[in-house]
Amino acid sequence: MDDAKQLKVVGQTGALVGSLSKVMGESNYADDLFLPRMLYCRILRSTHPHARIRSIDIGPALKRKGVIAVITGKDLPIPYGILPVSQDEQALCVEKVRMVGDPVAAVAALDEETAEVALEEIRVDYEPFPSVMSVEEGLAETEEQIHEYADRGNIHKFVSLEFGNMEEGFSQADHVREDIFHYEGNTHMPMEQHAAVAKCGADGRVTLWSSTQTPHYVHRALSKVLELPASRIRVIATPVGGGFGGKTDPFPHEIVICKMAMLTGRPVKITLTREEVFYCHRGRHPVLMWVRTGMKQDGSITAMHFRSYLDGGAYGSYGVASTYYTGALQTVTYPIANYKFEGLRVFTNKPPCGPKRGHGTPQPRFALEVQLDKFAEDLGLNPAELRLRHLMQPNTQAINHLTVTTIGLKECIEKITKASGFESKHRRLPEGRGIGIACSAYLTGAGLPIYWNKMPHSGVQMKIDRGGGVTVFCGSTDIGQGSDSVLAAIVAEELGIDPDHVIVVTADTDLTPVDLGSYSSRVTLMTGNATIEAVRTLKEKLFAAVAEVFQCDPESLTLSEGQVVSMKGKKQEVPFTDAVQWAEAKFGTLGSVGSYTPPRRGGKFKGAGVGPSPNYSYSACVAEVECDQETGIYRVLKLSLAHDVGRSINPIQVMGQVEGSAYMGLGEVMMEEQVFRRGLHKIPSLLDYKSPTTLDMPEMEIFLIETDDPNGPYGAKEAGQGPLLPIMPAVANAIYDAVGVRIDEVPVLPEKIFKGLQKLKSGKSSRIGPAFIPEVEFPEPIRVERPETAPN
Amino acid sequence: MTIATTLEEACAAMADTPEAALLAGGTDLMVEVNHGHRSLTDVVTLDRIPELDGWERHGDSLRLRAGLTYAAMADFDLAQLVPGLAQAARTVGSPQIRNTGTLGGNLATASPAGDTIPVLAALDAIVELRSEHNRREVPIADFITGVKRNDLRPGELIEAVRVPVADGPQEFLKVDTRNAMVISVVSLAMVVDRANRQVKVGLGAAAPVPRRAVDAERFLGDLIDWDGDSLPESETVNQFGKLVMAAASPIDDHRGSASYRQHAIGVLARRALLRCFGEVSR
Amino acid sequence: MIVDPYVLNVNGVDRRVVDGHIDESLLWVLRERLGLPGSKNACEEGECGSCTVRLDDEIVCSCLVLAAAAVDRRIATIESLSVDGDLSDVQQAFLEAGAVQCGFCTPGLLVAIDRLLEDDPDPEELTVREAISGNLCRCTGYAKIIEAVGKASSVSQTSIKSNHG
Repeated sequence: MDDAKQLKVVGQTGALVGSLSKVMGESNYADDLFLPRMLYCRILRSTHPHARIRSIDIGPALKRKGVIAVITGKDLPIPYGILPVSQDEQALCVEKVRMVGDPVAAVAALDEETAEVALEEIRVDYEPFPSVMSVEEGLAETEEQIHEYADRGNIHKFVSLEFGNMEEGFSQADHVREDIFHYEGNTHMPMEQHAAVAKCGADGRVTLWSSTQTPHYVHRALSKVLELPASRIRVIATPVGGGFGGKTDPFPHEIVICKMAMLTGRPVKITLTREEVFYCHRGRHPVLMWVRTGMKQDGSITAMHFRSYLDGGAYGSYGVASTYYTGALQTVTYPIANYKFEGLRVFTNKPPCGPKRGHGTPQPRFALEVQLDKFAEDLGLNPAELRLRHLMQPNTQAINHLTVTTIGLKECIEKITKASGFESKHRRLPEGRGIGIACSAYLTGAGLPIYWNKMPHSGVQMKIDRGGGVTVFCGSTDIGQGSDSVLAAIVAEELGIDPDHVIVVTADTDLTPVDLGSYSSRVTLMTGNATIEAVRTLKEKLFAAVAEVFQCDPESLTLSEGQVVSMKGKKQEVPFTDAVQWAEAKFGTLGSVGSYTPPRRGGKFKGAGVGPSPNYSYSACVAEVECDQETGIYRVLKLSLAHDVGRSINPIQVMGQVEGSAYMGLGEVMMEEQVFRRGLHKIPSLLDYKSPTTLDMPEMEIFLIETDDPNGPYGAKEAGQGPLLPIMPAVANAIYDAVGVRIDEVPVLPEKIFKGLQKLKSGKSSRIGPAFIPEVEFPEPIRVERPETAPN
Repeated sequence: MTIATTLEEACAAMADTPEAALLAGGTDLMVEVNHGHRSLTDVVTLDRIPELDGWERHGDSLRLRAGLTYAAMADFDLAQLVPGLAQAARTVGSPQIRNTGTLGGNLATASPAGDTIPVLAALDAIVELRSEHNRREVPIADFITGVKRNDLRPGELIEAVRVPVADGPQEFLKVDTRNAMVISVVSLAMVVDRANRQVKVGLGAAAPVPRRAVDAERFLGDLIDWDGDSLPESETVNQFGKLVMAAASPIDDHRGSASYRQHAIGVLARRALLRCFGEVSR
Repeated sequence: MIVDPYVLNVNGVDRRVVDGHIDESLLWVLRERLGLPGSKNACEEGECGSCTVRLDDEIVCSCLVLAAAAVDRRIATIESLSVDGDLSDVQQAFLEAGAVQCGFCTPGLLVAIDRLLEDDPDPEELTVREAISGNLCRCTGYAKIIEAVGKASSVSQTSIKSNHG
């Protein structure tokens, strides 16, 4: 990392790649693509939450004028799924349907309306099974499992891990608390619905343009299901109109239109309706959590026993990883001396849950931060003070073997408590006004890939030519977070040129080296590091060529402001383009590669793969609220947020991520709910599924803390997910401060607050939240030794 | 497709093609069309008819033509004359919806949560209907007959709504789950009619049809100090709230439970009363 | 049901629609028939503002406008905001403020803001928030969008450019 030299591009607020066409309305999202002779596809979906498909009669649909093709599950029977351990999906269901909305047939027609009408003419004969709608029901005995590969009944997955010695840990505690929390499911609701266009050339090569965050994973799934070599398939990610984790699975509609294109020889487009997007889901798991924590009088955590029960929906998706995530990151903020995690995920007959911004960590973080607030009250400590007393130290390992490198949490907490006046306000504001604090951590890219392999997680190729043009090729996907701009900025920084002169080619499996995709906040760090490697190789060649001409030591050369400059002895400089020509003359055509694989860290136990990361970001939030005690309606007046981002590659982009995360966190805590009745989504529309409007947003004061982490490019850490996590518990803690009602649930709704206030009035405990956890026996835990540098 | 420019033309077209959909703002109809719940075979548009646009005052009476948009209802001049309606109109949807959606449309859709409806109920609005050969008038309580059901006969359209010019304070309050683009959890309109010494209360999203809190109104009538200057007693305010609550029969749905809605409408009632007669109104 | 050919005036140009179905929305016609996919379809029910266009003097959700009924009106879409490749002040401000992330809500927002600034060249923050309360954004939290309007309004005060068709 070049810390000696002043950074010229990194750290500046430069223009963003791709934004110009967006403000002109010229950006080609998938639904904006029109190809000659293109057909339109619509998918027929199950109206039953759980049923056998006895028969499907597509005859009447085929007869309709304008219908070109109709397919069913038998045309695409090969199962697939994002995780190797849960290849449990089929592009069109073959034997049975597992949720309302499960795809069973597809029509390609000359126009969308014809396709839609044809769907109604397909006759499906269902034989319903009993359906499972909750964790409780999922834990019960069943005659018809949703998936036969489940661990037991409808229990998809059990996790049971113990680190250290729980008995000893609890015996050392002065206080022990047991709390139960529930976090409702919610969904990504990207503004752009999923959309894709597929084409099959006369040579049999298939091209898919899709709004996806993970073209590489889609590529693999297509190869598997279509039974085509990957080299005969091209996947191009179109500009993505919002993802947040909702476009990281390979989807039935993507596979279906490829098949349709292969069958008809014509391009095929599909755009999901908003309702279909709600059913696609793959969003936040509803999680019931039980936490038993032991704390010493001084506030240090001697033991924590955490149980999470996940309502997984009808398919695996990323759910196994999600389950582990609900137990992984509790440990990297405040030291936990002994830790036990038990988690389970059940299948239910509802849209599958998967990764949504934060992926399985917002739920346990809510539990932890609210429980800490309760501990603070028990101990008579200010909750900010409680946290400040015991923070993980840099370059240590947490009890579950996660390595904390840099941690800026102390500075975060200090910044926001000062800015918000937390000390003077906590428990001191007039009735109805309250203030609350919470912290969190998030990983900067998962340490392991989705499918086991030893290859790089990110690859970059570069080309520089005699015209001075610099092109960087990378499989990364810009989903609005600005990853293309990060690439351009890093190349420009390293080469001393204007980022506007860097051409970025991304997310095309024919042209770009593999990058695993835009999820788990991995892109800046992983593509950034790969890019630095690629550029440095080229720099060496440039300097070698220039040094020859300058008759100087290549070590004395530097790139700055479009020139190659020698810094020692006689000052000489040459324009970048000329230097390139010299290098091209000396070495031949210039190109380079760079790759990045995260360092192998973490423990060596089953499940250790979820949690490790090159570094962790840290966030802290103070929320100030005002609550109407007659109705429970509340407003968040102000959020003070601090985020340890390591280093901002582009501060405007980072701020945009922090602001966007705060907004999404507010949506989750104040109004968003993915709720069902008998498998039917109750509110599959943008009217009824509430997300905040401009009039719902509070004042936000944001601080970026830079801790310069050695593992990140220029010290960077993630910014796209971490800042979301502390919002929900901060608001819940603020509500308690305001009106004395504990809401141990998300969302924190006015009606719940109102109920709590009524209970308070009648002298009962005002807590609102789940009262019971299910009776279920977890397996014997895998016992893991304490790591060497863990807290005692 | 008939793009009518006169009422006569519209009514004739409706008589001619009874299956034609009526289109003014389209904010309800087009949602159904876009979602495939309604298939159009013929359309008669009403948004180019000057006779359906604007409003006029006749002494103490206001005639609001059916094509008035929410944006127009919130217009400064009109807001002086019927502030409750302006307040309600300002809360509807979004700027885009307010530019397009109409008074007539809100009435015709007859949703229990329609924002203008409690205000019109409190104003004892008269709905003017017209068809090719006929005109008639229906009080609002008789015009909306059920959830999303109205008294329109084949070939009829809503021409205008008549309400009295405000003779006292008016309030419109609602409970929402967010601050824009939302269907109310409950709402309440209060119209103070000084001349007749009456406080009229319309409930929104609290019953299948427009509802007045009749017992609450009756209770309050004698207890307001119409001539003097004193505030209602707190016991009066509380009892008033309870009576309004008793008049409501809301349902459970994803926006709120019946019991919460009932409670909330009591809160709105007390607050509206205090705003109309309390410190704020002085 | 096919309607007779009709003409829509879009971005200052008369565009003829043949073989139109009676129930096609203006949004659909703009995107699918008239080669103007800048306006976006995110909800098809007027609840997100992504399809916002200008109809005569007001902003509306084009998904709620029946295309065949929009004859004899002046329709202006996002594509008309920049003139001959020159960005309008508000487009430029969006770029500078970092108000564009995924960009899907951006066209609708720009049309709404352009209209606001016409009436109120230097609006208060609350006025801005109300003017775009019908535009949902899932990425930005609206903060940089509000900042961009502030930038654009301070520029508009010093220049007399008008950029819509």
